[in-house]
Amino acid sequence: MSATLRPYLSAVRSTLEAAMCLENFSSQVVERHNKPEVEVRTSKELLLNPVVISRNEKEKVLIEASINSVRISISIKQADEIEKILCHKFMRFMMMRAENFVVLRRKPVEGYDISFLITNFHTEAMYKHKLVDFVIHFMEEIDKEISEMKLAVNARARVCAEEFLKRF
Amino acid sequence: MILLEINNKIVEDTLSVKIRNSLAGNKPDSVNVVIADFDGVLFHISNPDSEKSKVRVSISLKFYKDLQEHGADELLKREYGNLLCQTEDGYNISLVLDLENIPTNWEEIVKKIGLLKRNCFASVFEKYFEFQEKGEEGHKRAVINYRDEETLYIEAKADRVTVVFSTVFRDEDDIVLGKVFLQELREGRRASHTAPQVLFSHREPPLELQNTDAKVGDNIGYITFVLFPRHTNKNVRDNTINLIHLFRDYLHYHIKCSKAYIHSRMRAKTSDFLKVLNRARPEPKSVEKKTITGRTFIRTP
Repeated sequence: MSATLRPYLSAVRSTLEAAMCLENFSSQVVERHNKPEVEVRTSKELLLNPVVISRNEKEKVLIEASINSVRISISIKQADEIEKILCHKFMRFMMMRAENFVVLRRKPVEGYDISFLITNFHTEAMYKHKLVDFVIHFMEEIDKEISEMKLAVNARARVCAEEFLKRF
Repeated sequence: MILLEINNKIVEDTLSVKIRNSLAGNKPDSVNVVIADFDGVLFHISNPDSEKSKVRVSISLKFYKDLQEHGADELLKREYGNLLCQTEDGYNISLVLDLENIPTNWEEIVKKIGLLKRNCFASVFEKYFEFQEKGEEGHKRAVINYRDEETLYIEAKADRVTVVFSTVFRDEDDIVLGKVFLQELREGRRASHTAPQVLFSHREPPLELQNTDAKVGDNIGYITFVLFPRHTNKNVRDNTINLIHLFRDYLHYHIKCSKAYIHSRMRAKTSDFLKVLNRARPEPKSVEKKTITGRTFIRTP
């Protein structure tokens, strides 16, 4: 299973490095405004082709780029019901703190679990290679964290059941 | 703390303080405390008719009528005998303790008063355990609405007693977590050979309750305990009652603990991510500069 993880993450990394070439671009539609073009989508010539990198049907990454912004949407592996609710809770928790996170989007794109929005202002204030590192690190850690939380719930359930039943 | 305590610690502590105070020879103070317990049960400790030397403990259960049908009054008379008194307004049972004549075994009595809620429940269980022991069948099923939308059903057959809890999961996530817990309980035979059989049915009532007006719904679960004579015989009866009557609270307590734990993990992980993100920011370059003659000045970008 992890035989596919390394190539998957390296593909995502190289695509992100290519997509994160952003420069400042004022809005063509409204005077004196500066909007992330990937969100507004008014001018077709400013948008690049979106790329989907899939590890399997359930896990994929959508990268949409434009001249001044990149939107990265991640779909996380959720094998069963409990992973689904844990993932859902975790994503909601983080998206509520999107202001703190700067590059996180408050709502995920349709069909995905979480989305990042990186604009030229972010790449001007932060190192580009470190931003890419962050996204890759995020993808790795999420899977680990959800497995660990699921194990913790199962372990607690087992201990509670044992304690209760052995009293009889 | 994995298992919940069956006695009410607050009642025990309040009474112990009052009794110790009296034994030490001090004048008793007035007391008026309302204590909440599981399943919407209220305790009220007060002074009857403003007599500071007497302490009255009253309990109110919304479903006391159901319990009365099954002999709760008799059991309480048996357990508390001379402590029973005129029931306070708005409550179901009252016990009175005279601070001027404290018996020598007062600690035992205080413990007994702490078990008042458990003893109210005990009567139903005992009645049906007796039926099973005598091998009597055909008695009506006991139905007790111990919480707003949740009911307890007890039925006695010749060789077993089945106790069914219906429980409502108010939150969708609770349903999934509840299922994990009940899955482990179902396989509990591994833990102990003496454990009763536990069955779980989501949404629909189990076969025994098929044609009753038992509720049906996505967030409703039914948990069945099958108790055999080795759980209901006179020696272990009390232990079984202690464990079973608090089961629903036990389950929901642990579901809430799991959610709290998950929440604290998420918080830790989120701050972890923030740390990694902040590594992406370059360190602010030192803006203090010196000229050759020694003058220092600060450049603001």
